[in-house]
Amino acid sequence: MNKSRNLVLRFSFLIIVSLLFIECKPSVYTKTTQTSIALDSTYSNQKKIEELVIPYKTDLEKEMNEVLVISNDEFTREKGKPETKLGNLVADLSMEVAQKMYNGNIDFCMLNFGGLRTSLPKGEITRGKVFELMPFENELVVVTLSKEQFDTLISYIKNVGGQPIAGIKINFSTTPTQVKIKNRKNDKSLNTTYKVLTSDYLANGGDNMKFFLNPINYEKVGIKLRDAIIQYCVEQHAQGKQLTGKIEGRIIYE
Amino acid sequence: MSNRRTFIKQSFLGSVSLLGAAALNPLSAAIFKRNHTKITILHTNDVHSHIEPFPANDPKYPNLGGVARRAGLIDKIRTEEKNVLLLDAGDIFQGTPYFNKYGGELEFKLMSLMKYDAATIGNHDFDNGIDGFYKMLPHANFPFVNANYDFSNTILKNKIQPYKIFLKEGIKIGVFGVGVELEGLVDKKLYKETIYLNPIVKANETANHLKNKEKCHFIICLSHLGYEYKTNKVSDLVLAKENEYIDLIIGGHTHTFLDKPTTVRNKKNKITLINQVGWAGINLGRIDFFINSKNEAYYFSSEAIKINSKKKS
Repeated sequence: MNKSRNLVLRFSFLIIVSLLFIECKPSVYTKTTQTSIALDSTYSNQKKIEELVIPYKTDLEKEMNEVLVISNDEFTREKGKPETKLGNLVADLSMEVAQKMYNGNIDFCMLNFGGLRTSLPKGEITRGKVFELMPFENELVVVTLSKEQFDTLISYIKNVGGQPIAGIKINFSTTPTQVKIKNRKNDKSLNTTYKVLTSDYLANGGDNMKFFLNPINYEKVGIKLRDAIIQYCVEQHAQGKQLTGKIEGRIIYE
Repeated sequence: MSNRRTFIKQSFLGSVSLLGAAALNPLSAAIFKRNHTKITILHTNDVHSHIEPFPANDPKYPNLGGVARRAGLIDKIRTEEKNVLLLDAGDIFQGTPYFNKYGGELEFKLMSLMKYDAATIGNHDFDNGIDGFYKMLPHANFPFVNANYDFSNTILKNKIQPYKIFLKEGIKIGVFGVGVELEGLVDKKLYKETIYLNPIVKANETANHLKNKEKCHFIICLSHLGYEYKTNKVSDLVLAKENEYIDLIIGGHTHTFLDKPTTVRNKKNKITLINQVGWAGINLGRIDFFINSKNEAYYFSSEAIKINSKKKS
């Protein structure tokens, strides 16, 4: 009897305390939940939406569902890593496609992680998936940089924690930073210049790549980055090859 | 009545479950005699033309998202709640071939069908140039708000308002927008003569106007500044600290998945909430505010509702 009375008292106290809390501090009180929802199609708007989408979808699918190549790896869009399979794939293929079209030797390629907009699944890679990966109408360009601009590019990479690169290896764990360009001998002269393959978006200072803004030379390769990806996928498929991912220590911090 | 019940349940959390119903009822009647109005804010950001769900084989988001399901969910909430505002924090465009092929027409038509109340402009909404955005405007029957882009020397002159005011059961809600710095992010040939103005200054100016001139009870900022940066670049967290009158910042740009809103003490030592729901329409954000008889928000609850389009088996 006494015990239950005690309990009631204690609960009343709790209520009063809660009440005081609400009355005295009318700011905010939070509760959060997270719900996962799988709806059935009982809501009319859902149906209207589907009807609106259908003609667009049908039209688009004809074009976008074409399978370009098979991938035997997942290429995940990752943040916070100096090197990713996805970044390596796109930088490598850009070098390969551009080098065939460009009259002269390209030293290396640099793109940006932010511009690769989705992950590629293992299995069939459709034209639509490539559009999702590279939705922008960016073109490949070759930018000629001075030694000074090149050095700024390297320290930019260091500061942002890496970007997709090809044809070059950078080791930040040593002092000074070790930079190896695959297709040329180590040239330390101050007059040397570097031909960098990138997109016009980045060459125009996008993603804060200001070192590209006053280049010695700026040349268009003549292909959009997306079309380069599509072309590479189609060629690989024609040669009976699949997309394979690689991580090989292109950028090393420690 | 049903509102009231939800409120009691949610605000007392654990302690309620310990109490017998008999003890609760008379008390609750006394406490909650005064009226409160519930405002339900639903929001998205960075949907990036994701009209269909991610496919089942997507490495990160299999079966998630999709406009049809989102529309169904919004429909359902509208049948349950009286005062719903549906808002978007920008980057509606770019991300799937729907945008490459149709230029954003379908995105705007779908948002109109879902009855979006307002949206702000993200950097990718300039991807087909300011002209590309302008061309799509007739497909949107909801307004775009932005207070820190000066469009006066562009085709968007007089097409974008700094804010819009909504009235819900006597509660005046001011909604305005701010956008990210375009230089270094968007090609100048796309945004043309758009002038970026300091978002903190413009946000404070606009919120002050909404509070003191328009007498809004509640102020929402649709922001495409981004949640947080390692550098000193202006972000939602900075704006939250540096403002006086914003109750809620609905953010975007950084694709940040927040499970619950971030609570920040602003310059007036009051609470400014920040929420952001990732990207691609994977989550729908929901925040319910309870406004007391003095027209102050005194309680909120929030949900990040994951849109799972997997068919029920």
